[in-house]
Amino acid sequence: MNEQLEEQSALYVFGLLEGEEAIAFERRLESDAELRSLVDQLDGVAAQLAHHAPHRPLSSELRDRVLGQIRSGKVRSSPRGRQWIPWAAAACLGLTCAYLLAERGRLRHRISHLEERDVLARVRVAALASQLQNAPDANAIVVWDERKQRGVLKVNRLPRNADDRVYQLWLVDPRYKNPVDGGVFHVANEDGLSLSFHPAEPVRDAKGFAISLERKGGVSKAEGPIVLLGK
Amino acid sequence: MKAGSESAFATFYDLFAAGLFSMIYAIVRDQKESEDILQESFVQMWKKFAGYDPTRSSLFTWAVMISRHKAIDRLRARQRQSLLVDAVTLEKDPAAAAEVERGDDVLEGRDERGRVRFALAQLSAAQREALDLAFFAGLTQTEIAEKLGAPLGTVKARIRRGLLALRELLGKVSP
Repeated sequence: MNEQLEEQSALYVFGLLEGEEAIAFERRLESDAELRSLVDQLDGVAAQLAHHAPHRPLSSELRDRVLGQIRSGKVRSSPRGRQWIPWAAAACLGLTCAYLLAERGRLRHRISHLEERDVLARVRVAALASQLQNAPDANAIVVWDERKQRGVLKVNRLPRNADDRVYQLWLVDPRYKNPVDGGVFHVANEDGLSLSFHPAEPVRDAKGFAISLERKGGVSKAEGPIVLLGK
Repeated sequence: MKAGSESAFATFYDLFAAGLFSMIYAIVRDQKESEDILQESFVQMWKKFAGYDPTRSSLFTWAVMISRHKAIDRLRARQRQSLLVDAVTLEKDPAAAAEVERGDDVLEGRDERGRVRFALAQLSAAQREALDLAFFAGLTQTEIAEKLGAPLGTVKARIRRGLLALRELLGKVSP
């Protein structure tokens, strides 16, 4: 990719290409997969700049207005049959970042609503509860995307692990005799921790998730105590 | 319209609205107008979802781009860009900078915003300023160059290098 195309791509994602140059660029974009890929990437990077905006309080009444407008039926929704899947998926992913900070009851309520929908046949959300007497408030949320075979784990208030120990995530799939290894992680402090994971084996029917405390390096089959558990 | 759609959409709103609103406000600098734009944006997302291609962008990117586009359109329509440009240069706005530290973490959470801020801090001030203006100010290339007092070619290069560097930096610090 030459510098001129890179430059045009960068300007394009900000809407800064003008006139004939913009038209020519868009024409090329239609037939140049590499260029399309670059623009898509840069779109994603540019969108991150939204995080650079100073926080501004948002009126809670606006939520009612927006949802009321949609609920009223004055806004015709998309005809695509499974249109709500990505909303739920986005919501689930967002949950890992925000909802552990909110009341757990509200979280469970929302999850239960979402779990009633078909979408979670593919994207599954599980709240993991503490099994620890010394850390009863420890908890975690797992968002598991079966299609992509990847997930996000958000852990909260889990005690720091000793240097010779690691926490290990397990995915329970009835197809396997033993839970599938989801990877190990360390907790340095009790602040929230967010991680992505890929199981060691394909998981097609995740019935539950668990986190155990294992020896350093992890194990192929859970040996240590279960510290968090949920489905 | 399915009840489940509304429920999921409401959750989506709860998670993203505050961050999108902050972005919109950074562009138009008007509370009421920002609220209107946010409402229009979410309604458009609801209506236009069939056009969303998850293989090309995350839902977050899609939502940001729709909201930003509406905000920029509104900004340009007001034709008072020159009054707003000074206000949108974030680093030159002490009050705004203070709000960053006080504000709740929104959009995609504390980690994500910290990650982006860390990455932006690695860029040169000139690149950062060019990207801020390109994203928030609603100016043309030429207007950005005039605002920065730099040749147009230099500004284009800053935007290109800044964005590519940001891509690398965000990639490196991804979890």
